Amino acid sequence: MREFVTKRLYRDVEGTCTGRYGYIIAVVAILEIQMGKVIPGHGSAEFEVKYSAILYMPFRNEVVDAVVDNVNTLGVTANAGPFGIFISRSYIPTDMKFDPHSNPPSYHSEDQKIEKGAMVRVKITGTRVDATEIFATGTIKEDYLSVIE
Amino acid sequence: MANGAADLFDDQSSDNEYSEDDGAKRAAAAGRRRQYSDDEEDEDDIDEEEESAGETAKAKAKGSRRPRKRRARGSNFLDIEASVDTDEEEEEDDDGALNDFIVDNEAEVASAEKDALRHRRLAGRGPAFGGLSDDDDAGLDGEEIAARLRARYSGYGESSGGRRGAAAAMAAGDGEWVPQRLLIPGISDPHLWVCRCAAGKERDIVLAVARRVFQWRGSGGRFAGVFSAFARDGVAGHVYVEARSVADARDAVEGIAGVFASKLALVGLGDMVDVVRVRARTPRIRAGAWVRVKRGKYAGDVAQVVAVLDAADSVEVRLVPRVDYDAVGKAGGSAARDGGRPAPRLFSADDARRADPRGLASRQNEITWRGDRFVGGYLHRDVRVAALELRAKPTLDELATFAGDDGDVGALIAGDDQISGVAVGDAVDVVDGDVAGVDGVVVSIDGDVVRVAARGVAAPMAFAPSQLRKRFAAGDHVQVLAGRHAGATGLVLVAQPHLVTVHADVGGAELRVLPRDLRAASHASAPHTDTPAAVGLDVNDLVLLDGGQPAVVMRVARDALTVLDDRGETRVVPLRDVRPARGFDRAGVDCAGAPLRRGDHVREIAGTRRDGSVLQVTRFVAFVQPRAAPLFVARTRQLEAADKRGGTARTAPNRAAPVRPAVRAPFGDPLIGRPVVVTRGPYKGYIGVAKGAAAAANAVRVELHTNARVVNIARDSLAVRMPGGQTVSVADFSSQQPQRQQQSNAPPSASSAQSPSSKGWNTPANTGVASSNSWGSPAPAAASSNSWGSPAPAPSSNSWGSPAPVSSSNSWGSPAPSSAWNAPVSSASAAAGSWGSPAPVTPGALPQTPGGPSSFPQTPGSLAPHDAMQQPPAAAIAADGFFSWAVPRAVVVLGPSRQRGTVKEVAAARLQAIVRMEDGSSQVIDRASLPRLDPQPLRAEKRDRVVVIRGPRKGALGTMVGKDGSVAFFQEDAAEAWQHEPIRNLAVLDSH
Repeated sequence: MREFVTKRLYRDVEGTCTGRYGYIIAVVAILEIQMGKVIPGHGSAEFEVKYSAILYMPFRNEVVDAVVDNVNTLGVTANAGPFGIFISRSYIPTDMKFDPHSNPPSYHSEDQKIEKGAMVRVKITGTRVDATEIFATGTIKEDYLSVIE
Repeated sequence: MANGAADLFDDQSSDNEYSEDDGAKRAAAAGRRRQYSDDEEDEDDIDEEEESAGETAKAKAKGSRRPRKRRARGSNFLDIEASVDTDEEEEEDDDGALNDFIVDNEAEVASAEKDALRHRRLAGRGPAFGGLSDDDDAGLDGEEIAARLRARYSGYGESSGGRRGAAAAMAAGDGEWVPQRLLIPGISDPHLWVCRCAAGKERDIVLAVARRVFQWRGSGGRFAGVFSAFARDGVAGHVYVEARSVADARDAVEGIAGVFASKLALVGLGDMVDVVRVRARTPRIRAGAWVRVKRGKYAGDVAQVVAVLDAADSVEVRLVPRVDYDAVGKAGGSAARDGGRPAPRLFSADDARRADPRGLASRQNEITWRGDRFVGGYLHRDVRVAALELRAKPTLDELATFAGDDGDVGALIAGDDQISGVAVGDAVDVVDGDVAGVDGVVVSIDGDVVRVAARGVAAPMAFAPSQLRKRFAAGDHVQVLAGRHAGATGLVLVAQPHLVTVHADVGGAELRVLPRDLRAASHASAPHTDTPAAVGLDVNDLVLLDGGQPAVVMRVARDALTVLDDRGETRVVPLRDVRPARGFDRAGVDCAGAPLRRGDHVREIAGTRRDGSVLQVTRFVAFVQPRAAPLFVARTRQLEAADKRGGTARTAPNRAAPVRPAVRAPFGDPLIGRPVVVTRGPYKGYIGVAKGAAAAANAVRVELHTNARVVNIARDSLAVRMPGGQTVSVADFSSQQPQRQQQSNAPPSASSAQSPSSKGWNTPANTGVASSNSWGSPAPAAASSNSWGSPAPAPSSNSWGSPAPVSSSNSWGSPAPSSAWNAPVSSASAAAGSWGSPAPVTPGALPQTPGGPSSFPQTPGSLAPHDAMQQPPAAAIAADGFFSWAVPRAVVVLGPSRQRGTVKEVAAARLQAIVRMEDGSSQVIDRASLPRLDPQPLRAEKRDRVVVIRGPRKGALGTMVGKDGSVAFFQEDAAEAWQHEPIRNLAVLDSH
């Protein structure tokens, strides 16, 4: 029974997102499993489990590394782990120009190029936390940001 | 003056006093003139110049004090209280102008009084005050002054000839304060006459009246009874004259161009106050504000106020010019004349030079071209405030247009007097006032007072909404409240003071929004406002796609709709390409011409014969929802009404939405193409040709022979001209026309039941013979055809003469089965419904005389057999329609598919018949199935074996030898001679 509850906990909560705490990356330890209660008239039981977990909650002004997912005229979308970041064109350094003809499309300057798959270091400017998802906007138009090799 | 009023004199008492003294006349006139032309400062100055020139040296001292004096002049003659309310009729003054006269504090009142005295003295009252210098006023004993004043004003009411109301006079005489509202005009006061005049000329007329009065009054005493003339801005085409008598008033306005002096009306005592009451002040307008032009070439365009001109009456605005440079070259060709107007674009001097170099002149940064002033590419114009819509909220797009290609929208928005739209909880910046620059959060809003808890300040501070601007920071999660993107949420990317760029949550587009249209969204992304719902669209709604294509909404997404269009294609269209089909013509006609409406049960007449209920219908297509199948679309003409509620039910008044006559018209109006004579109305006696149904119900378009004009004429004003020269009224004519349609495959029209105007759907088979007698029809048919021919039977009385529109008329039910030839599908069935209910018509109760209740004209040549006695009870007609003629071996066509069958047995008494169909099946026709099957005899052609189904020879077998029009030559078997028999009396005989 313990094993089942543990497995079920891992399966149910790891990788999910709560609006309050952010992403639950991994359950580290199960602290307590209380006595189960059979739900009347239902046949299933309810166990309250206390556990500790690694959470990921992006905050404004946090600097994260992200992988570019999509590049278009509006800007760049990137994924930092589970959540997406949108970097508006207005927050991309002005010397980086959008080149729709390159393959894949990219923003590039003399020495840098942002295309799909590139790693960028982004500062988060805002987040939108839904019940099941977090979305952020970010900027790479500051010192020490932009593409990382 | 803003309301266009020219006060001849604000103060009559002063006037009167002046007139006591002959020597003062000239000055008084000047004073009056001054008051009158208050807004024309230059003239004013000249007047005063004259005045002072004519005076003694004292006037010089006065000249130096003119600014003060000007103000005092008003207060001298005005009741100070007048500023509080503008009730008093003598003060037709409007906003602003009056307020300038008001002296606010007591010191000023005192000095104004002093000035007034001085002024009076200057005006010719020398002896009384002559010995006093300016400064002597102060030296006078206060009580003495008071006594003098009292003496002067004691006769205030009486001396003015009882001009003021008794109450006012009494009160004023006592020197007591009189509430303004008591100073209402009485019967002894001058009256107010309102005079119609040409719209737009009101001001000119008022000025003309004033000019005339001033000119003549001084010399001859003419116009002594005229006191004021004015016009109200909001009341176009009216000029008010305050005068003693109507003669005085007429005298004042008569002969002035644009005045219709004959239309002089007295304004009631109670209304006089209302006439001059100023209800709403003109909204304050200031430079930088956005306005919208109401009319003209620039109607709807946003404009920005550059400067406020004289007395806030008109403003200088700048707008993006709509210049068609190309049109200039053409001779007299302007874009406006071509129908369109050029797109707004900033003025291009190059283009202008190319188009018309001579019209171009520039001075500093201002370019004048063809009379228009352009500054920085914008057209500058002086516009009257009345022609502008104030407080326009320009959209961002409009501002972008305004800014031009490379303009800075932000700078423009900064000029907007922001309607900040703050709400409780908003983070705001204070942008105006003492503490501009502070930011805080809105705590409460109480009317126009917004309390803001400013950062670092303990107590909330109060601001006007216009002092605040919403404040956003990059990364804020916001929702758009208004505008094109209303309902969208997103993250703020860039927050400029006047413009916020938002990254939309859905779609990822970048929206540029004004701060006033944004609001912080709750962090857990509030459910989106459903934009389609916001515009009132829902599933199953009828919408119009671009190009006017009708479609039905199948699914509603956030900003896109899935629609089924009229070609049966399912498409996803963006919301902006769709508009709700409100007020759209929601009626079509089915294959039988019966109106189709939403909710009707219909079936396709071809193909897979799908059926369902009409979800939406337009003139041409119907969107049909089957019970258990997806929505489909069909042309209305490919549908037939499947529910046999029938035509009569549909014509019930509450459902009788008008079908467009243009739709009805095609159904064989017998009148079309006929020569007609107009029997009534302005065109009486004219001859023409009926061209078709007119838009108005029950009217016909008639092309007149005389001048080839097409005019609409009511049916009952027409008579048909027969080839023989005689005329037949339309009603009779229609009734005489047999229906031809039974041979065509299309089921006959049922719309006749619906629309009086299409009563004549029975297309003429014969253009020559038009006497109903020639049909030799038996009584029931003839009688009932009478009732169809009537313009519109009255609902209950069955009186066919009444022109009232059809409601659930019994007599419409009756015609259908009167002759099964003519029985239309649904009216037959409708008749089935209405058989039993109405009382059979009492013979003789029918109004038949032309002079009776019928408004329908009976042309003398009318041949219709109006024999009321022949009218059988409706039930009888209806019941035996088919059974009255059905004979064995007659070939009939049945049902909607018009299948052929042969009558095998007929039991007329039991109202039953058996028909053997071509495919070998048998069909029982009885009372129940009759409406559905609608059997019609198969019309005979030449050399057909026929059976006579009606008339005295009913049942006879023979051959149709030939025909002449609608008369067949019938050779009975075993007879040598041919007989004449109307074709409708013959049916094809089954030879088997």
